[in-house]
Amino acid sequence: MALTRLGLNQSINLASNTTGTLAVGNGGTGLTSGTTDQFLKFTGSTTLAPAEAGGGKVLQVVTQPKNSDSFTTGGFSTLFTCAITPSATSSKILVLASIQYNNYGNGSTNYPHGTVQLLNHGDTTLCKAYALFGGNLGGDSTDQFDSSISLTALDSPNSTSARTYKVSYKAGAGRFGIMGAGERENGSSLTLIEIGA
Amino acid sequence: MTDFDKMTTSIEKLQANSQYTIDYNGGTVNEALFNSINWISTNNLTWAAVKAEMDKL
Repeated sequence: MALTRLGLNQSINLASNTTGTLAVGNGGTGLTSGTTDQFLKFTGSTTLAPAEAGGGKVLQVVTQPKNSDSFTTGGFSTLFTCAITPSATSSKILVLASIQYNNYGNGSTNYPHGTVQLLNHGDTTLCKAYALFGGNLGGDSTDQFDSSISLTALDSPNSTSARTYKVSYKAGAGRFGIMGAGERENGSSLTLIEIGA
Repeated sequence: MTDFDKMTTSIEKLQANSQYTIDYNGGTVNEALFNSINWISTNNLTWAAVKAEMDKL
Protein backbone atom coordinates (compact mmCIF):
# COMPACT_ATOMS: atom_id res chain seq x y z
CA MET A 1 0.00 0.00 0.00
CA ALA A 2 1.40 3.36 -1.00
CA LEU A 3 1.18 6.03 1.63
CA THR A 4 1.50 9.71 1.04
CA ARG A 5 2.39 12.03 3.80
CA LEU A 6 0.68 15.38 3.53
CA GLY A 7 2.52 18.38 4.72
CA LEU A 8 0.90 21.33 6.42
CA ASN A 9 -1.48 23.16 4.01
CA GLN A 10 -1.11 20.47 1.34
CA SER A 11 -4.22 19.21 -0.55
CA ILE A 12 -5.35 15.78 -1.66
CA ASN A 13 -5.78 15.54 -5.43
CA LEU A 14 -9.37 14.21 -5.65
CA ALA A 15 -9.06 13.72 -9.41
CA SER A 16 -6.33 11.13 -9.19
CA ASN A 17 -5.78 10.10 -5.62
CA THR A 18 -9.19 8.65 -4.74
CA THR A 19 -10.97 5.40 -5.64
CA GLY A 20 -14.35 3.84 -4.84
CA THR A 21 -17.57 5.75 -4.19
CA LEU A 22 -18.54 7.99 -1.32
CA ALA A 23 -21.58 6.64 0.49
CA VAL A 24 -24.78 8.68 0.89
CA GLY A 25 -24.31 8.59 4.64
CA ASN A 26 -20.99 10.32 4.19
CA GLY A 27 -22.35 13.03 1.90
CA GLY A 28 -21.80 11.22 -1.39
CA THR A 29 -24.14 9.60 -3.88
CA GLY A 30 -22.90 6.04 -3.73
CA LEU A 31 -22.72 6.17 -7.54
CA THR A 32 -19.90 5.91 -10.03
CA SER A 33 -21.93 7.10 -13.04
CA GLY A 34 -25.38 8.05 -14.33
CA THR A 35 -27.18 8.51 -17.64
CA THR A 36 -27.58 11.79 -19.47
CA ASP A 37 -30.78 13.69 -18.60
CA GLN A 38 -31.65 11.42 -15.65
CA PHE A 39 -32.20 12.71 -12.14
CA LEU A 40 -31.09 11.43 -8.75
CA LYS A 41 -33.77 9.68 -6.79
CA PHE A 42 -33.69 8.30 -3.23
CA THR A 43 -34.44 4.61 -3.53
CA GLY A 44 -34.07 4.10 0.22
CA SER A 45 -33.16 6.18 3.23
CA THR A 46 -29.45 5.92 2.42
CA THR A 47 -29.39 4.98 -1.24
CA LEU A 48 -29.63 6.98 -4.45
CA ALA A 49 -30.05 5.89 -8.04
CA PRO A 50 -30.39 7.58 -11.44
CA ALA A 51 -34.07 7.79 -12.48
CA GLU A 52 -36.44 9.48 -14.89
CA ALA A 53 -38.38 12.52 -13.71
CA GLY A 54 -41.70 11.88 -11.98
CA GLY A 55 -45.13 11.78 -13.70
CA GLY A 56 -47.06 14.78 -14.86
CA LYS A 57 -44.18 16.49 -16.57
CA VAL A 58 -44.61 18.50 -19.77
CA LEU A 59 -42.87 16.61 -22.55
CA GLN A 60 -43.55 18.90 -25.50
CA VAL A 61 -45.69 21.80 -26.64
CA VAL A 62 -46.89 22.48 -30.18
CA THR A 63 -48.95 25.47 -31.19
CA GLN A 64 -50.62 26.60 -34.40
CA PRO A 65 -51.77 30.21 -34.62
CA LYS A 66 -54.40 31.17 -37.17
CA ASN A 67 -53.33 34.22 -39.17
CA SER A 68 -56.36 34.70 -41.40
CA ASP A 69 -60.07 35.48 -41.08
CA SER A 70 -62.41 32.68 -42.14
CA PHE A 71 -66.16 32.85 -42.50
CA THR A 72 -68.88 30.30 -42.99
CA THR A 73 -72.60 30.24 -43.57
CA GLY A 74 -72.76 26.44 -43.63
CA GLY A 75 -72.33 23.31 -41.57
CA PHE A 76 -69.21 22.07 -39.85
CA SER A 77 -65.99 22.45 -41.80
CA THR A 78 -62.40 22.18 -40.62
CA LEU A 79 -60.91 25.53 -39.79
CA PHE A 80 -57.32 24.73 -38.80
CA THR A 81 -55.27 21.87 -37.43
CA CYS A 82 -52.25 21.12 -35.26
CA ALA A 83 -50.30 17.85 -35.07
CA ILE A 84 -48.23 16.26 -32.32
CA THR A 85 -46.35 12.97 -32.06
CA PRO A 86 -46.64 11.61 -28.50
CA SER A 87 -43.42 10.19 -27.10
CA ALA A 88 -45.24 7.45 -25.18
CA THR A 89 -48.56 5.65 -25.46
CA SER A 90 -49.29 6.54 -21.83
CA SER A 91 -49.06 10.28 -22.46
CA LYS A 92 -52.06 12.56 -22.37
CA ILE A 93 -52.57 15.52 -24.68
CA LEU A 94 -53.95 18.74 -23.25
CA VAL A 95 -55.72 20.52 -26.10
CA LEU A 96 -56.20 24.27 -25.79
CA ALA A 97 -57.97 26.43 -28.36
CA SER A 98 -58.30 30.17 -28.09
CA ILE A 99 -60.79 31.55 -30.58
CA GLN A 100 -61.82 35.07 -31.56
CA TYR A 101 -65.05 35.15 -33.49
CA ASN A 102 -67.42 37.46 -35.33
CA ASN A 103 -71.17 37.09 -35.62
CA TYR A 104 -72.96 38.93 -38.39
CA GLY A 105 -76.67 38.79 -39.24
CA ASN A 106 -75.85 38.80 -42.97
CA GLY A 107 -79.04 40.73 -43.64
CA SER A 108 -81.17 37.73 -42.79
CA THR A 109 -81.27 37.26 -39.00
CA ASN A 110 -81.20 39.34 -35.84
CA TYR A 111 -79.71 36.45 -33.89
CA PRO A 112 -76.67 35.09 -35.69
CA HIS A 113 -74.92 32.24 -33.97
CA GLY A 114 -72.24 29.66 -34.57
CA THR A 115 -70.54 26.69 -33.01
CA VAL A 116 -66.86 25.81 -32.65
CA GLN A 117 -65.64 22.36 -31.74
CA LEU A 118 -62.41 20.51 -30.97
CA LEU A 119 -61.85 17.16 -32.68
CA ASN A 120 -59.21 14.56 -31.98
CA HIS A 121 -57.33 12.46 -34.54
CA GLY A 122 -60.26 10.10 -34.94
CA ASP A 123 -62.64 13.03 -35.49
CA THR A 124 -64.28 12.46 -32.13
CA THR A 125 -65.67 15.69 -30.72
CA LEU A 126 -63.78 16.61 -27.55
CA CYS A 127 -65.78 19.73 -26.72
CA LYS A 128 -67.90 22.48 -28.27
CA ALA A 129 -68.61 26.15 -27.70
CA TYR A 130 -71.68 28.06 -28.78
CA ALA A 131 -71.39 31.67 -29.88
CA LEU A 132 -74.71 33.52 -29.90
CA PHE A 133 -75.44 37.14 -30.64
CA GLY A 134 -78.91 37.45 -29.21
CA GLY A 135 -81.05 38.47 -26.29
CA ASN A 136 -81.38 42.23 -26.13
CA LEU A 137 -78.26 42.71 -28.23
CA GLY A 138 -79.32 41.42 -31.59
CA GLY A 139 -81.73 44.00 -32.91
CA ASP A 140 -80.84 44.34 -36.56
CA SER A 141 -79.82 41.88 -39.24
CA THR A 142 -76.77 43.99 -40.11
CA ASP A 143 -75.45 44.23 -36.55
CA GLN A 144 -72.16 42.60 -35.73
CA PHE A 145 -70.74 41.17 -32.55
CA ASP A 146 -67.16 40.16 -31.72
CA SER A 147 -66.03 38.14 -28.75
CA SER A 148 -63.77 35.25 -27.81
CA ILE A 149 -64.08 31.75 -26.46
CA SER A 150 -61.68 29.12 -25.22
CA LEU A 151 -61.94 25.36 -25.48
CA THR A 152 -59.99 22.89 -23.33
CA ALA A 153 -59.90 19.11 -23.50
CA LEU A 154 -57.70 16.28 -22.27
CA ASP A 155 -57.20 13.45 -24.74
CA SER A 156 -55.56 10.03 -24.33
CA PRO A 157 -54.40 9.10 -27.84
CA ASN A 158 -52.67 5.85 -26.75
CA SER A 159 -50.30 6.18 -29.68
CA THR A 160 -46.81 7.27 -30.62
CA SER A 161 -47.81 8.17 -34.17
CA ALA A 162 -48.55 11.71 -35.29
CA ARG A 163 -51.98 12.85 -34.01
CA THR A 164 -53.79 15.72 -35.69
CA TYR A 165 -56.26 17.80 -33.71
CA LYS A 166 -58.75 20.05 -35.47
CA VAL A 167 -60.87 23.10 -34.87
CA SER A 168 -64.03 23.12 -36.95
CA TYR A 169 -66.84 25.64 -37.08
CA LYS A 170 -70.33 26.09 -38.40
CA ALA A 171 -72.89 28.85 -38.68
CA GLY A 172 -76.28 28.29 -37.10
CA ALA A 173 -77.74 31.49 -38.52
CA GLY A 174 -76.17 34.42 -40.31
CA ARG A 175 -72.45 34.52 -40.99
CA PHE A 176 -69.94 33.16 -38.49
CA GLY A 177 -66.29 34.16 -38.64
CA ILE A 178 -63.16 32.96 -36.85
CA MET A 179 -60.61 35.72 -36.76
CA GLY A 180 -56.82 35.80 -36.86
CA ALA A 181 -55.77 38.65 -39.14
CA GLY A 182 -55.38 42.40 -39.03
CA GLU A 183 -56.26 43.80 -35.61
CA ARG A 184 -56.65 40.21 -34.43
CA GLU A 185 -53.34 38.95 -35.87
CA ASN A 186 -52.66 35.38 -34.75
CA GLY A 187 -55.60 35.97 -32.43
CA SER A 188 -56.91 32.43 -32.65
CA SER A 189 -54.73 29.41 -31.95
CA LEU A 190 -54.63 25.70 -31.22
CA THR A 191 -52.05 24.45 -28.70
CA LEU A 192 -51.19 20.84 -27.83
CA ILE A 193 -49.29 19.91 -24.67
CA GLU A 194 -48.03 16.37 -24.13
CA ILE A 195 -48.17 15.41 -20.45
CA GLY A 196 -46.09 12.42 -19.34
CA ALA A 197 -47.85 9.71 -17.36
CA MET B 1 -71.21 47.93 -43.41
CA THR B 2 -67.98 46.99 -45.15
CA ASP B 3 -67.73 45.87 -48.78
CA PHE B 4 -67.18 42.35 -47.51
CA ASP B 5 -70.36 42.56 -45.46
CA LYS B 6 -72.16 43.92 -48.52
CA MET B 7 -70.96 40.97 -50.59
CA THR B 8 -72.13 38.28 -48.15
CA THR B 9 -75.35 40.17 -47.49
CA SER B 10 -76.01 40.38 -51.23
CA ILE B 11 -75.34 36.68 -51.67
CA GLU B 12 -77.83 35.94 -48.91
CA LYS B 13 -80.40 38.26 -50.44
CA LEU B 14 -80.06 36.86 -53.97
CA GLN B 15 -79.62 33.23 -52.97
CA ALA B 16 -81.03 32.69 -49.49
CA ASN B 17 -79.57 30.01 -47.25
CA SER B 18 -76.45 29.65 -49.37
CA GLN B 19 -73.78 27.67 -47.61
CA TYR B 20 -70.13 28.44 -48.17
CA THR B 21 -66.82 29.24 -46.52
CA ILE B 22 -64.46 32.04 -47.44
CA ASP B 23 -61.16 33.47 -46.18
CA TYR B 24 -60.96 37.23 -46.19
CA ASN B 25 -58.13 39.28 -44.74
CA GLY B 26 -59.17 42.81 -45.45
CA GLY B 27 -58.20 43.17 -49.11
CA THR B 28 -60.27 44.46 -52.00
CA VAL B 29 -63.67 42.89 -52.46
CA ASN B 30 -63.74 41.96 -56.11
CA GLU B 31 -64.44 39.14 -58.54
CA ALA B 32 -61.29 37.29 -57.49
CA LEU B 33 -62.52 37.19 -53.91
CA PHE B 34 -65.97 36.09 -55.03
CA ASN B 35 -64.40 33.30 -57.09
CA SER B 36 -62.44 32.14 -54.03
CA ILE B 37 -65.65 31.18 -52.24
CA ASN B 38 -65.79 27.50 -51.34
CA TRP B 39 -69.41 26.67 -52.06
CA ILE B 40 -71.01 23.98 -49.93
CA SER B 41 -74.44 24.43 -51.49
CA THR B 42 -75.01 24.91 -55.21
CA ASN B 43 -74.21 28.37 -56.49
CA ASN B 44 -75.93 30.00 -59.41
CA LEU B 45 -74.80 33.54 -58.77
CA THR B 46 -72.37 35.56 -60.86
CA TRP B 47 -70.09 38.29 -59.63
CA ALA B 48 -71.92 40.80 -61.82
CA ALA B 49 -75.22 40.04 -60.13
CA VAL B 50 -73.71 40.21 -56.66
CA LYS B 51 -71.87 43.45 -57.45
CA ALA B 52 -75.09 45.03 -58.73
CA GLU B 53 -76.83 44.10 -55.50
CA MET B 54 -73.91 45.40 -53.43
CA ASP B 55 -74.19 48.77 -55.13
CA LYS B 56 -77.76 49.11 -53.84
CA LEU B 57 -76.71 48.74 -50.20
